[in-house]
Amino acid sequence: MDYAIQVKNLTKSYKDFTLDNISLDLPCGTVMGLIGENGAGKSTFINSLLNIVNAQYDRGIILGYDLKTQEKLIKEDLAVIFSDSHYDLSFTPLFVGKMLSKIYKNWNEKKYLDYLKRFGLPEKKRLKKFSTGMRVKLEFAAALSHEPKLLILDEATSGLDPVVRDEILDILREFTEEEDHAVLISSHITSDLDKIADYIAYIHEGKLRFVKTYDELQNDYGILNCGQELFDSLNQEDIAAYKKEAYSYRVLIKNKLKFRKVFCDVSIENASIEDIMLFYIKGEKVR
Amino acid sequence: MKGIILKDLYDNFCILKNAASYVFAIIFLGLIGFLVHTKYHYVLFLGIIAPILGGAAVESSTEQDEAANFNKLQITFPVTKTEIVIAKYILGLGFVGASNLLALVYSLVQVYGYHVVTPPEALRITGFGISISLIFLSVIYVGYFLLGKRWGTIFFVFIAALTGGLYGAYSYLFGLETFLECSPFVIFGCIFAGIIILTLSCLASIKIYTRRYS
Repeated sequence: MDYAIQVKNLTKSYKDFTLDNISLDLPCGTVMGLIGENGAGKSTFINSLLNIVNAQYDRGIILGYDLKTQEKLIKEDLAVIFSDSHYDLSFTPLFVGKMLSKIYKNWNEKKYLDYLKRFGLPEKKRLKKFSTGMRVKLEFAAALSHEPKLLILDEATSGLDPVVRDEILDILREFTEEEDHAVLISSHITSDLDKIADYIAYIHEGKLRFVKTYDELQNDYGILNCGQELFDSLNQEDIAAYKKEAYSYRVLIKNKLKFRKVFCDVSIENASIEDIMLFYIKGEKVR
Repeated sequence: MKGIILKDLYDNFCILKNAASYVFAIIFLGLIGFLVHTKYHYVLFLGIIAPILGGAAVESSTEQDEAANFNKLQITFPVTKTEIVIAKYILGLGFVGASNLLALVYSLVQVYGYHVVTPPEALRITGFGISISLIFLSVIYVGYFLLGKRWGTIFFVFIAALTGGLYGAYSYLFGLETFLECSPFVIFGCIFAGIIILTLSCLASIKIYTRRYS
C-alpha cells in the first residue's frame, strides 16, 4: 500500500457552501497538514472521509479499502481526534479502555495502560477533573492503542499550551516512524505544521488551492519587500499575491529560485505556512 | 455494538445523578406498590409505571452523548450507523425485560401474598404491560432520535402523561373489569402489535440517525 488516502473529485454541497472537487493523495509514512481559514471546508473534507457526512466522489480509497463499501475495515485501522467531540467527562480512563476494547478488534490494553502511565494520567479519575491537556493526551492514548495506520486530527491541538503541543508533536513523529502510518492534521496553529508536515494541502472557500510538499513550499515561496519601481518590474507569473503597505509592497513570490537568478541582489525572506496562507487569503492578486 | 451498549449502561448506572434517579424511582414505586393493595393500583403499576421505566434507558445516554458531542466520535468507530441505533434498541429491550421482571416480582406478591388479583387476571395484565412497554419504547426512542435530549424529554413526559390519562379515562368509562377479563387472543394480538411497532420504530430511528449524519 503506497497511499493512506486517495480521493478524487470529492464534492459535498450544502445550501450555502460547496466543497468542490477535492482530489488528493496522502502517501504512507508522511504527515499532511490541512490548512485554510475557518469555514474553508477542512472539517467538511475530514467528515466526508469518515462518512460523518455523505459526499460524492469518483474515487475514495482509504488504507487500500473502498470508502463506500469497506467502511468498517477502514475504521478498524483509523483513529480520529476532534476538537469538538470527546469522551463523556464522567468517564474514567479505565472505562474508556474497557469500552474501546469491545469496539476495536486490535485493541491493545497493555499499550493503552502504558500510554496512560507515560502521559501521567490517573486511571480511575473522571475526565471532568482532568485539565484540557490531560484530556487531549487521553484521546491520543485511546487513539493509538488499537494499532491504527492512519491518524486524523481535526484541530485536535487547539487550546493547548506550547509544552503539551510539543509533546503531541513528539507522539506524531513517533507514530510516523512506521512506514505504513500516515497522519492528516487540520490545524490553525501553522507553526506546528512547520515542525512536522511533509505535505501541505491548502483549502480556500471549498476549493483545494494546492497540495505541495513542505520542501517545495520552502523552496518555491518567499517574501519580497520592495518599492513601487521594483514591484512594477516584477514578472506577474512570479507573484502569488501581494499586500500594499504605506510606502512599500510585500510580495509573495512563488518561483523563488528562478526569481533569485534574475534579481540576485534583492533579499527574499523565507515564507512560513502562515505567511503563505495569509497572503492567499488577504493579499491581492495580480490581474 | 457491545462497546456502545457498555457505554450506555455506564451512562445510566455509573453516573451518580442517573443512578440515583433509578434508585429513587425503584424505592418510591416499591413502597407505593407494596403498601397499596387495590386492583386499580395493580393495573397502573404493571400497565403504565413498569413500561415507563423500561423506556428510560435512552434518556441518560442521549443527555451524555449530546453534552460531549459523542455521536461524531462514535461514528469514527468501526460500527455502522445502523449498528449504533440497534445497540440502543437492544439496551432498551434489556430495560423492558428488567422492568417486566420487577413487575413479575410485584405480581407474585400481589397474587399470592395479598390476593389482589387471580393468577389468570395477573397474566392478562402482564401481557398488556409487555405490549405497552414495547409500544412506549418504540414511541419514546423515535422521539429521542428525532428531537434530541431536551425536546425528547418533554415528549417522554407528554407521552407518559397521555398514557396515564388514557388509562384513567378508560377505567372511568369502561371499568377495569374489561382489562381483567379480555380474551388471551386480544393480549397476544397486542404483544404482536407491540413487536411490529418496535420494528418500525427501529427502522425509523435508523433512517433519522443516518439522515442526521449525512
